[in-house]
Amino acid sequence: MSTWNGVWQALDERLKLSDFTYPVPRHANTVAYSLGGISLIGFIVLIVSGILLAQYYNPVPQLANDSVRAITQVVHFARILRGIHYWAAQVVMVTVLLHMFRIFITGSFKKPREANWIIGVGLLAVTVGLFFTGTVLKWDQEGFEALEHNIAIGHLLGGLGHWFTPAFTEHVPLLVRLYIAHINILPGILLLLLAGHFWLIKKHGISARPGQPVAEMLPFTAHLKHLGKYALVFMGIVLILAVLRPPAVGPAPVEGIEVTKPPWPFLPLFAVENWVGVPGLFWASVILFLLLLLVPFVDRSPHAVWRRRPLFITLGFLLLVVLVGLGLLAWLTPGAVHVGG
Amino acid sequence: MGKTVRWGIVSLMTAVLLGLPAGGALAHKGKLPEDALTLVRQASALLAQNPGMTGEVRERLLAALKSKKPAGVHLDQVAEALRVLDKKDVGTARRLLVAAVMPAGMLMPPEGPGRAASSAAAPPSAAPLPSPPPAVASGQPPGVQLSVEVAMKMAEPLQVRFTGSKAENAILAGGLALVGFGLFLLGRTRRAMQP
Repeated sequence: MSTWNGVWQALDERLKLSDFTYPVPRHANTVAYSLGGISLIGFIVLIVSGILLAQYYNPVPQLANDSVRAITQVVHFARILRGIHYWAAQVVMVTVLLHMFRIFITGSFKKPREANWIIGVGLLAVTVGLFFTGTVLKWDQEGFEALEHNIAIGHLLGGLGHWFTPAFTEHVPLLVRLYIAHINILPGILLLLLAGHFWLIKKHGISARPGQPVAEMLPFTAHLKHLGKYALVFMGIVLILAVLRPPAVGPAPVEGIEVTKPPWPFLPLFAVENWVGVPGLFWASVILFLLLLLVPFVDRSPHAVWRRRPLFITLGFLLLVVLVGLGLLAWLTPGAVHVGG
Repeated sequence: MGKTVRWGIVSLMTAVLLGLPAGGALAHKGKLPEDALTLVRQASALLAQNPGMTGEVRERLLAALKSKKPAGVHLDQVAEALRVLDKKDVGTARRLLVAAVMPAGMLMPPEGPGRAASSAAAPPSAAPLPSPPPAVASGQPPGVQLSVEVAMKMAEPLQVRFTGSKAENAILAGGLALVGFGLFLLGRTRRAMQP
């Protein structure tokens, strides 16, 4: 017995690592079926780079923008670290959305996986929340205006939205509380939801490819190994982007003006807000998430193949086209004043 | 898909795409602040963030000139900025606006430009109200002019660019190697999976 095998056996005896060799279908290794795993890799990169960035970031409003500028200009390699965090967040947002899109197209949310779809919608909400709070933390004009929207929605919700307003406590600035949400509350909820997500995947198994028989099974450890290869590509892309396109930071904010547009995931909602104001932003988000939550309860046919679900596939594409159209519209047209000015 | 459904989708999309730009004008606009200092700081920030918003900038500068609370602002510089803005010289207008709200005699502190910039760029609530500077931008002592330059820089987005330094090139090469190695391993697995 080689040394390696000896070590493995000793570890396995104590940690039961061989339990991870349960079978998964071979198609789990395709890009489309690995998007969830790639998102997980992204979250790990975000957590590690976030912990490191937290050593240099100061969430006190008077110092926040200065500390981000120092990260960008003064602290050795912190610029690259911030670039990694920024670009990993962008890539994770894309992979999460693509993952959800794949689940919808392949009907993987259907019985018995409805609960996991709902957890997935929760994970999307937390991801969006992390993206939003991360935008605020820069404490430049874009971040400040995002916070103003946060406060406006808090006021709109009345008592329920009290936490989102500065009136919740006079002793801790709202920026500090959003920082706590970004590094503590939201990642905590994310980990809980991820645990539930993975537990249900383990229970129900990775969904079959619609209309195709499961040809061959692999041990789950082989799938993990394959995800490691995606992780190399992910990390490489993020490093390249962090070096070639480091994220900018705007000047310290000025109250009372509204001059920026939100980051790309919020552009469709910004278009609605341009139309009907802050209530539109809130209700459009609520409607969007309700529609996503309703998916497994309205598309109840046993068919997973997209050709046999023309109505829901059409509605899904229509929603996608509307969102992309709204996003492009918001991107190309001047924004209106909603909370500042 | 039926013809009615198709037309329904087209109508909906058209309504959305045509309705939204018009809707921009419906969004409410709040009242401008009363004090000249806030108005000038807002105008300066607007110019720095979006030089195209000259309408909003002019509106604020005119309000600042008529303000009953002019404390902390050198109004003749604001008036000059307004004149310069009419000639579309955004850079000079910004310089004048920054100087107009500069604390009196703001010289470079011993520890260098970093702290001076920080205090100049701090949010309004963080800085005490300064008295107007004693001289116009052109006649200011070199220290004040330098502070104006630093404040101007701090009021602009900090866009870091790829410099091609050794460290950056090494990280870039590492990134490329990771992508290449990862794709190579993925390709090898894919080939092995094919019957």
